[in-house]
Amino acid sequence: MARSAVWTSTIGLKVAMAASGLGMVGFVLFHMAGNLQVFAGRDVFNAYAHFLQSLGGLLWIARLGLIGMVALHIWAATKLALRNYAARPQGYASLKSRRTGVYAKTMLYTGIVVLAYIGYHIAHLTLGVAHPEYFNALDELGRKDVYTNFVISFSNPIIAGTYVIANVALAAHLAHATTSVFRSLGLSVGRFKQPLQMVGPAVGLIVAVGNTSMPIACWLGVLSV
Amino acid sequence: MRVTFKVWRENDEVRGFRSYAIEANEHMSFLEALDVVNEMIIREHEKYPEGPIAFDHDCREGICGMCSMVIDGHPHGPRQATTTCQLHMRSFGDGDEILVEPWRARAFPVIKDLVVDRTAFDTIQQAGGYVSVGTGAAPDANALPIGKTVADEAFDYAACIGCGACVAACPNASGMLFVGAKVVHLAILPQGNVERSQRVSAMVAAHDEAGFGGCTNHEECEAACPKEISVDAIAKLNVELMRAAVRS
Ligand code: FES
Repeated sequence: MARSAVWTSTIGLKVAMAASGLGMVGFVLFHMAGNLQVFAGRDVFNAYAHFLQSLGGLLWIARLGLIGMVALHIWAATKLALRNYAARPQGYASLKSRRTGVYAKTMLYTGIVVLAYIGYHIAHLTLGVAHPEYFNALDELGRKDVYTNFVISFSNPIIAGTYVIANVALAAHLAHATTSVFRSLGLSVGRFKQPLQMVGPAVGLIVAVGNTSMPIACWLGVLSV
Repeated sequence: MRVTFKVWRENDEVRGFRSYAIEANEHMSFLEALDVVNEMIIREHEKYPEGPIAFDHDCREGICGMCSMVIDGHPHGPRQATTTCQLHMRSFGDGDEILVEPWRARAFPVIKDLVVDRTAFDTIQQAGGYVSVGTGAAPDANALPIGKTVADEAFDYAACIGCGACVAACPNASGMLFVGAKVVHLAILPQGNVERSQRVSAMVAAHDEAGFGGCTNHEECEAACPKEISVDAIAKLNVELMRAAVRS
């Protein structure tokens, strides 16, 4: 097989999904850790947002890297999904599963939900087009008042509910995906297998609790302006 | 015990499920019970114009990999680590209806009834599943020392009988467990080490070419494998291919 053919083989695509996925899991955890500073109050959160904004060129390098990873992930997923669909033109009257679970079976659907959510999330909190009224407000230090925008947005139950549902889908996706990454990259063998198998569900749980805690806190009024 | 087999029939006459009720003995093997069904069909050919059920089998002792059918939703039936030919009717209850279907995969087209064409596996094997040095007569034992753990691991992967249950069980009809077992058992032994790069590239290419799906880590293959081959084979296969890509 020529070298180029390796990367478009079923295994090559899977490795591409794993590598891009690993980068994105890292981003999700980092992004969540950063956002959890909202619980530390307006000043800390606005300072964090200001720091990110001040990164300038670095921020764009990170953004382009993320866009590249998302694009690679979707491209490989589409190719594999079409291929897998075509691999069994006639299904069974009954095929029972012994091992796989709901997270693994719903990867494509949770992935689509997450993609739609990323679009909405960027429009909402990065571009400010979804709810522009609070987006451009400044705090008393002249920084963008991200905290107020954040808290007011999520006190709307529809927005908070949307984020909760999307993050549950994201967590479900990661519960299978993160474990899968280590298998696809060949690390999850022998004595490393059991511990690495726990990583996916653990990451899923952390993301589910961490990311839904913020909209829920705003919605219930735990965080307020 | 009285059981009804609901069997997928596919030939010039029929295409669909047909039911056959027989009196079986619980000590019969599953294939012997199908033999009884066929004897009934031949005896009562006016009632069953579709003729006897075609199914693959050869050794009937769990080593050749010919017997291949999905029984009640499980490749090789409900018992773990058991081929269809080693399954006995005592695994079923009196009055049960047993659903029997062929492997379903684009790469394994149905030839007739429960018989599918598994040439795709042969093609993958022929692409690289061998060691191409003349070995001469049987060498002296231990002339080529191989550590116990490596020997055990190679043996575990070499236990693959090529039945295709991994493909049948996989939601994506992927043959990765088969390819992994064949690639890894040779790659980790000194005899197979020399050709490992060409081997993995050629065998994966043949697998993809045949129209099998890709692995999405459902692990259904390992659960269905009558030889209990571990999905570690797939993880190691991926590393083999990446290694070959980097080295080529
Ligand atoms: S007939 Fe040989 S393994 Fe079943």
